[in-house]
Amino acid sequence: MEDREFSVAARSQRRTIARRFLRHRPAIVSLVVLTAITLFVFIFPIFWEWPFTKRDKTALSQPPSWDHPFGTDELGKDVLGRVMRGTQRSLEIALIAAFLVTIIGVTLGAIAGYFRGWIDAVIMRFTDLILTLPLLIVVAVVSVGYPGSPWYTIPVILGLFAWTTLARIVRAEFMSLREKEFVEAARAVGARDRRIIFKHILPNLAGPIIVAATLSIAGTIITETALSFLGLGVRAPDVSLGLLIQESLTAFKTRPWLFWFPAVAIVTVCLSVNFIGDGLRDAFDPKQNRIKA
Amino acid sequence: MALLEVNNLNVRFPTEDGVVHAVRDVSFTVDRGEVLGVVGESGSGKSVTNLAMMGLLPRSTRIDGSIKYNGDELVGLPRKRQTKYRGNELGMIFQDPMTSLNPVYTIGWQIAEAVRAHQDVSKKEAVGRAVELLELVGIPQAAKRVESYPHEFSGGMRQRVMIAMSMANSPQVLIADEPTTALDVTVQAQILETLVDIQQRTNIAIILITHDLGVVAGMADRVLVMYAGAAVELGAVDDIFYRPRMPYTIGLLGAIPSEASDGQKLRQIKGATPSLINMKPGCAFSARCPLVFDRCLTETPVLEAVDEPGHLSACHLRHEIDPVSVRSLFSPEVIAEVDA
Amino acid sequence: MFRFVIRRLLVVLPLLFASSVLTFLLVTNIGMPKKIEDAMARPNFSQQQVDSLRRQFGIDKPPFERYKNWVTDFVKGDWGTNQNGIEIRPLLWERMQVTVRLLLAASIMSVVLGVLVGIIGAIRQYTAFDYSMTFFAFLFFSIPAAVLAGFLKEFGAIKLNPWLREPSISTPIAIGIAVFGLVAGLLIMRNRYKYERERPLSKVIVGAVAGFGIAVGCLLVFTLVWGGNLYRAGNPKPLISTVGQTTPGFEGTLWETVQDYFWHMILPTTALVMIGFAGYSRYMRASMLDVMTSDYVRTARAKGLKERRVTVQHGVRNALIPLITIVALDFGALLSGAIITETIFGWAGMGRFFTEALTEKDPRSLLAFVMVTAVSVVVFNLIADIIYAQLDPRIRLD
Repeated sequence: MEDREFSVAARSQRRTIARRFLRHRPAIVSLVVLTAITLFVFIFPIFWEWPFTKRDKTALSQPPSWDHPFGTDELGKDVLGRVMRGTQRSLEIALIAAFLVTIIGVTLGAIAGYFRGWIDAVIMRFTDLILTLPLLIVVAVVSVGYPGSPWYTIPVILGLFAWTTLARIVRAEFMSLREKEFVEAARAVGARDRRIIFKHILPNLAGPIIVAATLSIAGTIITETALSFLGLGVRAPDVSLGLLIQESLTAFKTRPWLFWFPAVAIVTVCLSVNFIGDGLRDAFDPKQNRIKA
Repeated sequence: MALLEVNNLNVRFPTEDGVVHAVRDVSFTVDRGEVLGVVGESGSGKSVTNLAMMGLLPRSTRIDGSIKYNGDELVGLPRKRQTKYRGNELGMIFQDPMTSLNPVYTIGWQIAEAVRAHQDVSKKEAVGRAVELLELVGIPQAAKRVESYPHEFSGGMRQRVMIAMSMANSPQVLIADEPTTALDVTVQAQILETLVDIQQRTNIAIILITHDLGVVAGMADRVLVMYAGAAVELGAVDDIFYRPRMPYTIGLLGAIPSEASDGQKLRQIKGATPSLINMKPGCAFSARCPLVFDRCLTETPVLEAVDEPGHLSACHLRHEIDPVSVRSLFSPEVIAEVDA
Repeated sequence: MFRFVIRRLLVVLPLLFASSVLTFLLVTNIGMPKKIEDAMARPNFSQQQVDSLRRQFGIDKPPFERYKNWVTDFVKGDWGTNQNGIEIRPLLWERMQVTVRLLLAASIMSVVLGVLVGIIGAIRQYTAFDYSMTFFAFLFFSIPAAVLAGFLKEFGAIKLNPWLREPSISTPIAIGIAVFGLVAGLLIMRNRYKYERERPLSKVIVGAVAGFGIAVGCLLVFTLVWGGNLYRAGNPKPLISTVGQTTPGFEGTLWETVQDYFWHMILPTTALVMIGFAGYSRYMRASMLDVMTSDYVRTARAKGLKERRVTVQHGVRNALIPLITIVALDFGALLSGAIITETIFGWAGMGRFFTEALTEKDPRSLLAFVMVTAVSVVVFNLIADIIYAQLDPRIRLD
């Protein structure tokens, strides 16, 4: 009986969140845009005659044209093909890094906040330690140690150092939630720690975790750009959006299309992700509920 | 003329889900030196009514009707001129003393600020007044305590500070919005005593908002019962407690354990308050009322006089109701039954 | 207060020690310096050469001993020489001054701007101003520093400089600016009375006229004052510089030097301000909204205080407290942004020091650089803690 009531309440709450999210217009537009871009960059390359490495020797450094809608670079590579591939890579990097950040951040934050005591002290001092070094600097120094390694080392390194914020959020929430009556009740009926953590506390944190994970996708893309700019991101012949920006910055004046298309792609993707994150935050946290004027 | 006169007050909030009609056609008066209890469950509009009097509702709120203080109309007053009444003629204290004081300023500073908002005195004089006020509400070593920060006080002490602050400019009306709800039971009594003491000393009119009928019985001269944004019964405290003429009031009284109801079962009102968005015509209580009949669903009852002078009820059956038999129509509460 | 600082220091010192270990591990992990790699790549390299190079870079000993030596030398202030035999400490010190100039200007401006916009956005929630500032904040959030800097270089300097030299405003643009002033004034005044019952038409008209007047006034001042600017007239170079932090070999009076600094700083600072502004304005807005709906602000209103006093004394004062921590935490991000920005604008600051050390894989330079950033991050957090404790009496000082 109690179980059924709970599930009814949960379902209606989920519906409220979905409704609030749907009402956030920028987030919905962003979701559509991001989905369209993702589908496009993953599916269209299959049909596109100019993959990112193929050179069109008859068209070097050409501005956008019918054959090459985004133009070509000085080697005759099709910019559209490269931007699609770069967006693919950047999205993959961002997703892997966000996944790692979420897993590590939630696990460490949950352990620290739930068990407290010396475990908490150790984890939090470790977090403080990582926070003494700016993310870009750590990641850059670590990346130097792995020259020529495949692209997926970048999101792994990013993920290994970027989880601190999420861990702190999760820990704080755990600290307050573990004192709540429903946790006490679960403990009173003999639920094990693992069950309390996963069944009773974590579901309540879905909101902040999803929001943080979303925002870390945008953050990763930005950091990857910075890394590529320092020559430590994805390496040629592979491309990412950051690498395309780095390659084209010097050609800004003479061949602006090399810069503009990847730049617009980065900004569009990040902007969409950030707006979706904002919409999710509004949906999960009705505290700052908007009252229509 | 009454000190405070509320006529056909309507408050509407625009929200995402539609317009919430939080206060519907409420009218009542408060006389000098009287204590008016306002009771009702949460969402009944009792707080909103009082926040409207203070001008503390969000800007987007639509307020219609009339609130007259000493003959001055308060509804529709520009924000700037409202501050002349707020804190000066009408003081207010809130439910949660733990969060109602600014944590970064000392108590003395905050009270002095209230004094200086309406009186042209020096900072030093204002702090002196703050000490007097703290003594008035029974805070020991007031001269020393003005230097303390809110977090150095207990909940009860903070509520006393709130009372002192609301009294800073000797207002004519004190609105106390659930002043004891957030406090320990032992402290509740002390705060109520302080209020009674101040009321007797200064002859201030108090509007006491609460869902605790016991508090009202002990302090109020008259009682206003609110339900779903409307005033459903108004009368002297004895009329309300011994001769209620509205099924909701009767149900409310049945839900409190007291010596009088010893040996009787506690009664509960089944169901929940209706949504205040797109309200249907008819009596708002009809869905939960044991006496409901067809007229209740079509015609909204308004406050009208019953036998005793000054006793008003918003029920189509106000003349026929017998409190005792109506009470037994509400379902007995399970726990009480087990105990019996 | 003194005891509070001491207690914080007792936490900070072990943290710095741990940080030095982590730094050492990270830097050791990067492998051979490039110079040694190059030497080994040569066909006729001798082990002797490599050994002497190893000694030169100080990586000829087992790791533990190296760590011990490095830490003791670092604390003593002997940071060694880089791959070109240049003393690291004076070099880094010189580079730091350049970066600090940039960071200081950018931080102050972005905090001030972010706080102001955040406050206005919160008290005028869901107005045109709030929506547009929200959009810009999200936009700046979503632009990588490299893209932003490249962008500014093109539009803030290369396209703008010729115009600054021969400034002229065409009539349609002048009319456009004036109309913008009119509409802005109108909207601001309308907004002001949005929730009042009566909307005084006269005030709205006055507001619109005032906005129009301000816009026209700005145009006039611009044409008159800028038209006669002497620095521009006497200086043949493009005004807004895209390369370097000063004009090489520039000598002049103090006033001219300041102007020279200013024109060099303007673009990189703008880039960093945009990045910082985005975060601070969003945070301040959220914090301010939180405070303005709090119980104690309601109490302040119930006292009958004027809305301005409620907003400033109770709203802003309390909303600023959590921002202190954010500004301190953001220092690392701002420094990262500065590294990228400096590189793009060719500044000889910490950014160049770092990128050079990275490409050369020079262990001593990297150790010094990472450790200096770690120390500054820790110091910033310490300062933030102290300010926080000053602002919030709930944090006990003793």
